[in-house]
Amino acid sequence: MLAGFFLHSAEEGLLFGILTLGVYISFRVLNFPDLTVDGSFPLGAAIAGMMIFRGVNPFLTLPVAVLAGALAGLMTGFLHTKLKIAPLLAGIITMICLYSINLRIMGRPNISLSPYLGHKTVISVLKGLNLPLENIYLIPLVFLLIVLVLKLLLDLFLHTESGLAIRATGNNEEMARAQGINTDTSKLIGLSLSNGLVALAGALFAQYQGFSDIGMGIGMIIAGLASVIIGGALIRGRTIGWITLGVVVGAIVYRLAIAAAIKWGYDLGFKPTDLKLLTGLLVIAILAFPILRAKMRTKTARLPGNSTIRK
Amino acid sequence: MLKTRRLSKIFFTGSVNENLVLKDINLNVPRNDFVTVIGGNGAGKTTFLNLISGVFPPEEGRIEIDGIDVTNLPEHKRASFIGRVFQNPLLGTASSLTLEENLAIATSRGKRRGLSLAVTRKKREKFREKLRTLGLGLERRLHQRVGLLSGGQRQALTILMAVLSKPKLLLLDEHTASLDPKTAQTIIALTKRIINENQLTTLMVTHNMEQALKLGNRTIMMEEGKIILDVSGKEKEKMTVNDLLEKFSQIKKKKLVEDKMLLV
Repeated sequence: MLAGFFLHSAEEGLLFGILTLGVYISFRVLNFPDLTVDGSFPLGAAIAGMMIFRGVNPFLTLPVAVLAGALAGLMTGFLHTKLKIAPLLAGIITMICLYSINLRIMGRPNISLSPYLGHKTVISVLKGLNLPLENIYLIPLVFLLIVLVLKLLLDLFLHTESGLAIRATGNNEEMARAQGINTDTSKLIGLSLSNGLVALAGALFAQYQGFSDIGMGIGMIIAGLASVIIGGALIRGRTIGWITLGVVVGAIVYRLAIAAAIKWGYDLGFKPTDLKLLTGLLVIAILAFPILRAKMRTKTARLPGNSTIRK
Repeated sequence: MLKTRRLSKIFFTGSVNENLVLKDINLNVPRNDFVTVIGGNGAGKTTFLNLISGVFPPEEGRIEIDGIDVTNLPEHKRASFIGRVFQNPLLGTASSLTLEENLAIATSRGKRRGLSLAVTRKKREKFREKLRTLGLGLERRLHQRVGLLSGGQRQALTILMAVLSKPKLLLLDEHTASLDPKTAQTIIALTKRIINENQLTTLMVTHNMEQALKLGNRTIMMEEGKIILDVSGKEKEKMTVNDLLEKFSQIKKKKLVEDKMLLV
């Protein structure tokens, strides 16, 4: 029973791995704290929900979600590069606009997707294929395959001339422009790619959990950021391939940590509604950890005769 | 190669802090000229270079590079004609990218950046060869991140990157000012060699008068946003730092007298 609970979380983690790859592009590669994510994740979910509700092939929802997410990223990029609005504000503006847009798309605050109502999702279609593989393994394997393919494609892209231009833009804008890189274009490409992935994660997640909800984006950027940081701490490679692997692993570990918090937090008196608070506290702890550790080290180093000095 | 006509730059236009930083700069730099630019703080040297490279637009005037009017061309488009090295060694390279990735970015300058692999085996060989000419052992560190290099090594790499795609114009903005004297010497020697080998038209800003006279075939002095001295050829070769200071104070005095006449 417990194993099933955590397998479920790991599956969620794989889907969040896609979102986290997106967050990695904006936060780490472009050095652009992009809050659009809280709107583009439910955007993907809303599109999937609306299309499936109307009987469209569920696989078709995925490219449409990617496209819509990319457009959302493009809007944030436009606000920042052309209208010179600060990154955080540009993302928040798009996020707020998307709230209404998502409601428009769904026509109501939530859509339930259930095989009992005759809705076909990516998940139900895959399960219906009767592959020589038990369904309990099929779904995580498919998710793993999707996230790995996306990871490898992203790795490859970041090593192309365009990808390198985007990395240089995030690292040193003056250098990038002096080397003939159009930094505005870099940001637009990076942000649309990032939010395209986030919306894809949203579309898949809605189908996995069986509903789209207007509120399902709240705190997604924090979850993504936490996953990126956890991944960076667990896998300390310097090359892109290792970093993106860390990003995916971080997402899974993050989901498992949240699952554990739900499971055992209940016994400690926490309620399910405390989840966002716990998430926030967890992220604070993760962000504060390196600073606190450094402070601890300098303190111990100052003590006379302490062996840490000699290290 | 470089022509500026009545080039002016005003900072904080329309505010109480309005500041006319450059006034009617007319400069004509023929091909293969190596011009050193000197002047005190606030003379407008860096502003002048920034106008040429397109960091900001001028309020008035016109800039031509190799007969092309670039006055309204954005910075990244102008970069295909211009190689730049900055005073701060951290500015010219991307620290989280490897040496070969930085060099790959420089080779693509002025070209369309597509979806082909940025660092190929062929390019890597070329980079290794180019780095070997620096004599700093960097050819063995192609896979390392640039953030691990020292200031001098980064500046040497920046120079290499600036000239890798044969610019029409090389702009050096006090590029040895933040290095220790010995490293600065190495970088100056390297600069000289690379400019000679590639026959580059160069503008080099420096605070060091001796260096300004020793290097290049022409020296201009700026003061309060104007070019107040322009010497080249034999005249420059004969000139000493003392001559330069003498000239400077003469011009200053003359200006002071003119100002007084206005007031009387």
